[in-house]
Amino acid sequence: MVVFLWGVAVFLLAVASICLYRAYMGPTALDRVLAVNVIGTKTMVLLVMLAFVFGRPLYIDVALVYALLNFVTTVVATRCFETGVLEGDWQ
Amino acid sequence: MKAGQCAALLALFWLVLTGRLDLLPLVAGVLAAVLIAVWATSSLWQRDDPPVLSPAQWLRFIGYTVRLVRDIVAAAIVVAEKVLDPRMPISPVLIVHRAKFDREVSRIALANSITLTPGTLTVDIEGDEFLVHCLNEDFAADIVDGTFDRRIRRVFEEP
Amino acid sequence: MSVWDSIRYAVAAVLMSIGAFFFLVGTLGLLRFPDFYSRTHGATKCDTVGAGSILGGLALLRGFEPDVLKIVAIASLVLLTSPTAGHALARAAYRTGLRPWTRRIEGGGQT
Repeated sequence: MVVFLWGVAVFLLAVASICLYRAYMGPTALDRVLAVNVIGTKTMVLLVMLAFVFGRPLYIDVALVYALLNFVTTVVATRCFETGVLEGDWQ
Repeated sequence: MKAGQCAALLALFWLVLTGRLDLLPLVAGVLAAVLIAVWATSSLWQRDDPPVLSPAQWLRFIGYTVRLVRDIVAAAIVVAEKVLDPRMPISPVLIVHRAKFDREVSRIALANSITLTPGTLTVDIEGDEFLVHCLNEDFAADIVDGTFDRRIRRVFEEP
Repeated sequence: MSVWDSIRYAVAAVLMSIGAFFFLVGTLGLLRFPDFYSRTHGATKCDTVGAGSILGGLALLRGFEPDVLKIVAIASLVLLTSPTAGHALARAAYRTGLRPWTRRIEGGGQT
């Protein structure tokens, strides 16, 4: 089973590096943010898998924090892109 | 009621995070949950309608979630077909959909459900108007004829 | 290794393969679709299903442990935040004047 987990983990890593193409080429800034968001989701799943592969349950907590941070980063980046400032009225 | 439900949810989350039942962490977690709940209900949700549900609504919400998961899987398969088709048969349209809800929670639920079902994406919400981006006109059928509105009204608006 | 364990492992492996497939499809959508809004479609949906499927498989692999609750928490978090992030992206694009190549239909005026 560990071999299978390693295989899926390496596959996810390869797919995430394909996403980097969009982050590098993206015609608009939002394309780049989207690509980074997708990579973040994959990294989060990868962290949970590594917790199983290495037998360290602590990595699952790291993944939880990573998922939260990924979401907050996307929302703040889009907000900054939309309004140009980070303070001001919400909505 | 509001503060109690919020505190219970936060304490449950704390339990999931710590993962064991020692006395000191438990007391600290419950204390923190109660403090945060009191703060949230007194100052954070002063003007807005707080997102709390009654027990009957919780039950229907669980049923709704199960149904939504089934829809999402079906949707992902449809999008996967579109992506893997070499001719890429998409013709995106923007659709304005009007839906009137009494609660803020219902609007959020509708926007998230639309985004999670296949081929549709909520772009903007202004008052009662939902601007929906569809990959194809066929995908919009469920939204335009109001199936989603009825479901969400049944879950969140009835007591 | 009982029969029950082998069935559990097999189902977990199938779920994880499905998840990996949907991740691949989401990435292909991100690369192939013509404009930003369509790319958001592919990315949000396939990533939600992919992450949910893989996390479900891992939770099944773990069995009955407190950690499983954490994995379920992560899965529900993804289910909740992924459409919100997609909506924030699409709204920012729309408000800053990125127009999709479409016609605008006035319709669906239910109450």
